[in-house]
Amino acid sequence: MKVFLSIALYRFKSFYRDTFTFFFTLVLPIIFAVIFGFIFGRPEGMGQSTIKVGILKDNEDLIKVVERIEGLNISILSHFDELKSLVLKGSLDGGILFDGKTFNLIINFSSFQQKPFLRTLGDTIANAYSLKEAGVEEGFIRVEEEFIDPGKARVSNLGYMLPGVMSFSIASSIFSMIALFGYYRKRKILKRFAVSPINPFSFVLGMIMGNFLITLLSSLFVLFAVQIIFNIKFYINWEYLLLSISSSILGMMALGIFLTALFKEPQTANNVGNLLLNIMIFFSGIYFPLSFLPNYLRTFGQILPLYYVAKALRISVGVEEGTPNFIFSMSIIMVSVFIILVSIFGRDILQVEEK
Amino acid sequence: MIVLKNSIYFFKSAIREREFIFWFIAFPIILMVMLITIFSSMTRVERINFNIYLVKNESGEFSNMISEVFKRISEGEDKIFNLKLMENISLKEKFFDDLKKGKTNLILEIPEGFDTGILSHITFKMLGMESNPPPIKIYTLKYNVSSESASMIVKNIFDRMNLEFVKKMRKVNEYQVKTEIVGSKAGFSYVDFIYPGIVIVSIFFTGLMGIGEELSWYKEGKILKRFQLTPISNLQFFLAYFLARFYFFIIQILAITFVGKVIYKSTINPLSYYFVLYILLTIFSLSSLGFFVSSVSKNTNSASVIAQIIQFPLQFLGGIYFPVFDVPWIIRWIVIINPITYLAAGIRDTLGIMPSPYPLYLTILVPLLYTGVFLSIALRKYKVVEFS
Repeated sequence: MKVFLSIALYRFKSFYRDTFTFFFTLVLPIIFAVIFGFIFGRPEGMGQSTIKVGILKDNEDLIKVVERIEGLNISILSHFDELKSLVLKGSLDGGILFDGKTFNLIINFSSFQQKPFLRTLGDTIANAYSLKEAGVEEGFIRVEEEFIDPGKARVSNLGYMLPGVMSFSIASSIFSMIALFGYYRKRKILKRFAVSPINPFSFVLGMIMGNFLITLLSSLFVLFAVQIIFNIKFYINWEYLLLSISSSILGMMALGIFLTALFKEPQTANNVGNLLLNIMIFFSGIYFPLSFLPNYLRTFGQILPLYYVAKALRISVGVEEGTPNFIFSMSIIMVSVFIILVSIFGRDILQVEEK
Repeated sequence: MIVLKNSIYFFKSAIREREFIFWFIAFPIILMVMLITIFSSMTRVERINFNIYLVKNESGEFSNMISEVFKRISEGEDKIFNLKLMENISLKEKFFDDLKKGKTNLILEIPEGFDTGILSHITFKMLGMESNPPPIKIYTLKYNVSSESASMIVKNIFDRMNLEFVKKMRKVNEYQVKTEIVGSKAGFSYVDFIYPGIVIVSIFFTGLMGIGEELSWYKEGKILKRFQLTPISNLQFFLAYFLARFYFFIIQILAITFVGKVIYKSTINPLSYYFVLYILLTIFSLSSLGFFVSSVSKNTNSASVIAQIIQFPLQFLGGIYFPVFDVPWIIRWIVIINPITYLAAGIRDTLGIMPSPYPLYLTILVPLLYTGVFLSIALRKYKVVEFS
């Protein structure tokens, strides 16, 4: 027991000296949060997004029509060049021009990437204009929109995205297990324990415990850091959060152990792990909602473990509604997979080393 | 001759490493495929479908007509919605729960009395009396982009329905609508946008890791010092090493171009004068960054950490994946000092994909300046530390 604790403590202390792990677990998630947060995040308190549209001032009828459309923030400009320049710079999402026959909508590329449905705006404006001309501005059907609060915390889409950044820290556990079971095996470090009084099993468990604590604390640090940087207050359910993070770390460790068992060469396991992480980050709905993807990609996203990790984290910090059952089920699956894989492959690796 | 011979040796030694091939050829292609798969879907509205619940408390003519319209556009391959018809209004709270849990993106409710409301409204209007049209309720999730987008589409459908109703009663002028994504040459093509970006990013990876980290490893293993005992001069060594990477860059560009042009039908001409010019500029400036990183790193591990710290901000704040013209000042300074910003903007502008926010001369001068600064620091460092 003493050996196990000493090794766990050693691993914990050596974390800050291990620049690569330190970078991946602590620095990289914060860099990502800052980059994506400032580019794509809508600051707290801004509520629903408005679309910034420019119109030329000589189109008075059009201005009146557009003013009645909800969610639009109108800028009236004197010249087309000025309007186009503001759209190009991204100061306006788009500009609408009308020559009496055709409505021309120009959309900023960046706005279009973030709000692809902006292209329907031209039809909305043209329909509203036709209705006004026909003298039935309000139409026959009125749409009344009611916004439902997403969860306990009233956070922006930035707050929705940030818990996903924690999954970076958690996912670094994949690589800590590849290092432990792959590189340590390759360099015959585990074998050396055969001639020492330390049981290799205690060594492995101690290292797992050390890495577990490092990742847990790093994830919490990242969570606090992003709250401070972006001035967001999450409504954290600590029981759920600790359970979600802990089980996710074990689940990701299981993935690392599985890759080490699958690929004899640790560098290959590392490359495959990196590739898997990249795929999971893109397809797990961390940075953009899965509903923007076609059905087949949505289904693919839902079979990736990071999808469940990110969802559990969002539920735990109160930005997404969810039942405790989801967190419990995910935790049970992650921990079970970890136990099964450690018992199968961990024993295998140690036996090979002992031989 | 000795330079050429050594360059072939360095080149062969690099391509023998599976890891090198994976990270510098296979990975950029995988990244390109992933980005195109995701973002092309996101920008092609017809391929995305949102989940919506239609709660119907009425069975009159108008309610049925609305319900039929939504059913029709929720069928077939190009359906816009995955529609679920709900008739039990007592489950409204459960529907809201589903909305919060993301099971549906929007709830559309045809309220009780809707049909009577429409009929009264039409009658009042025909009699020239003031009347408010009856409401259709939509419930969306606050701060949720999918919900917001679904709401935009549903509102658009009702605008169209309103117009169709009015057309049955009186003459209505209909207008053509043209939409243009500003900057793109012929409509919007994500493939055209991302293809030069991926070429830049693959050169960037090779520069930072394939040159920066590998030369640090040479330094750490005292391999560079051993070259002092051979007939090859320092200059010849670096020329041969760069030339070996240059062969590799050509293979990278060819592989990415094959995927971009043959599989994804990019309209960019990779043989165009501007494309070739900017790619050469990219190769020189990002290779010099690699030489610079190797010269200031004490060992492979520190080169690797420096490379990772530089890699992410420069990659994501260089406008490779998304435009970064209008970002807050807290990160804008990185965009401004980033050589990739100018390379990506210049290449896209000259190819007509997107206008550069900077004057074109800057898109050439800034990378050239970086090349000069990085190379002079690297050469000085190597001269003083390694070859003294």
